[in-house]
Amino acid sequence: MSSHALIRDLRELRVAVAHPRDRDGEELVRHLQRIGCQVQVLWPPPSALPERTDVVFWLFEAGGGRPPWSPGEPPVALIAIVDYESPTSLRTILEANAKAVIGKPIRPFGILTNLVLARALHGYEKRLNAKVAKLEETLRSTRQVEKAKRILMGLRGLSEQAAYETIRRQAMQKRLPMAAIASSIIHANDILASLPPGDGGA
Amino acid sequence: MAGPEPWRVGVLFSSTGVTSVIESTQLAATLLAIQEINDAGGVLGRPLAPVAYDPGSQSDRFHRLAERLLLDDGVAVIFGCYTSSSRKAVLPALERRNGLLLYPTLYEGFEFSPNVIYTGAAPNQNSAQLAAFLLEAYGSRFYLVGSDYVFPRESNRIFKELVEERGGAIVAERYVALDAGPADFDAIIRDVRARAPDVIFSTVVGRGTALLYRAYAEAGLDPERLPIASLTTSEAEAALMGPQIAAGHITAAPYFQSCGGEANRRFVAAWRKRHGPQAATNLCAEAAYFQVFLLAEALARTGRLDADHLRDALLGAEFEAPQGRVAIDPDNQHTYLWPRIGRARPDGQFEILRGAKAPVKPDPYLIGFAGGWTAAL
Repeated sequence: MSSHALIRDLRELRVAVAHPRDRDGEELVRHLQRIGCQVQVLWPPPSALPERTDVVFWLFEAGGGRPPWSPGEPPVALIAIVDYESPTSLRTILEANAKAVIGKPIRPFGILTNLVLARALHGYEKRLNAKVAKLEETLRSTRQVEKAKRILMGLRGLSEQAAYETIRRQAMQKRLPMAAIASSIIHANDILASLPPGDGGA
Repeated sequence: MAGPEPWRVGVLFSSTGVTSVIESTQLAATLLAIQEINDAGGVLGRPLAPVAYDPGSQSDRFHRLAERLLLDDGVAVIFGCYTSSSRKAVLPALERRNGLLLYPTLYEGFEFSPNVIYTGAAPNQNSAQLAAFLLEAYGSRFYLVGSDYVFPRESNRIFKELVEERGGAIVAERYVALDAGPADFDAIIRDVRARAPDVIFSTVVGRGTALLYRAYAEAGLDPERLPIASLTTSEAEAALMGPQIAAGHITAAPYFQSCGGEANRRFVAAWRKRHGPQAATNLCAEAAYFQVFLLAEALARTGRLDADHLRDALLGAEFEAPQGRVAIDPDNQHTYLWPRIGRARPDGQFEILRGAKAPVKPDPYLIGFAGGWTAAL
């Protein structure tokens, strides 16, 4: 997302705040409202975030619980609210994958910056993860096709190009990905290879 | 015999340096309001006593003098600051010592400090109205020129968004040093000629303002066809450059001396009594003036000169200001103001072309148009 969009979107952001409604909590909510965000306070900490949340501020208390997704990826941009910098809190925050941090006592300055930064990083990470997943998928599919090609070349004495075309034609006719055709060839070959030699041979 | 112990308040406006022309009007307006309050018996029977220093238009001196006011002089409230750089320079001192700044200058928004009451316009109270007016009246190609510091760069970013949102285009964005000389502005005007925009949007402040308009006039350009539009060129700047040179150019502001109303009539009369019949008020002086009354009324309610009590008393406070009735927004500590568009006349005053029909709520974090102006007109 461009910096332009990140700043412009501030007005429509749905922000969840998992923090008690005390002085700090009120300060945070008021400032988010000044910025123009739609704010929802969740306390005690919820077991799941409301649908259509864009950002969550989550209070990490010493000895407190951990967010439902932790350890793991938060579903939305996570900004940690901390009052301790002990090794235990640091580990909790790392496990929850916070993208930004604000300290207690909460003051308005810095909230906007952390909000924008957390969204930018979360968006970037999501895009990277999606890209990695896609690349892994492509890599897997390429490997399958390669293997299937070699099977066809060995069984039928096809050239590499002809083997490839065979798989591609099948994929188009059956409206399936080439990887699916490739894997059925591989499966069929495995099954055939596991059968005892028949009596039809010369 | 000693009188009752005064309420000491800090005052930080520059009488020297690049932005002293406008800042000295803010100083004068602050002192005028204090005088009027004291003449009427002070606050709870005690006079206001200004402790004023001259920061010389330099941010580091603003910082040091704010520290001195809060720490050595023991004041809790400061009236002051014109440039955003000077406001940013005093903020750490205010937050550390829990002082309260009343800041009477338009600025670029995107700030909230619990230690500041903002009585000048936020962009949704001047830039949005100005962009809409210029697009309608002059065209869609804008040339941006500004002094090189926080306010112009941020204002230009906001202005660019406003213009582009309505299908306009920015043909150039140029910055000059705060102490730029005539040659710098001649170069700007040559570039303007070459790019032939419909409007020049200027965020040049201080002494450079007169130089820009003069360079424009000397080049023989026509303000009816290609005006300079500004948020800061007020009666003070027009007087300095010569009203003939300012004539025809456009300014958006919540206040012009030519506003009607009884409160303004009294303000202008008191101003002229002090500074001579030709002296003109302006938007920054007006905010500097009315904010002292807001503070005095808050102080009368709290009876305590400390930031926390006064802030609480100021939130939601209203005052019949020269521009119209204003109020401090409890949500963001900025002020409900009356946006207006003025065109400079040859006599140094502004003809008001458009004006809000109701005060516009400040929205310092707004980007783009929000219909506030049209709704308010």
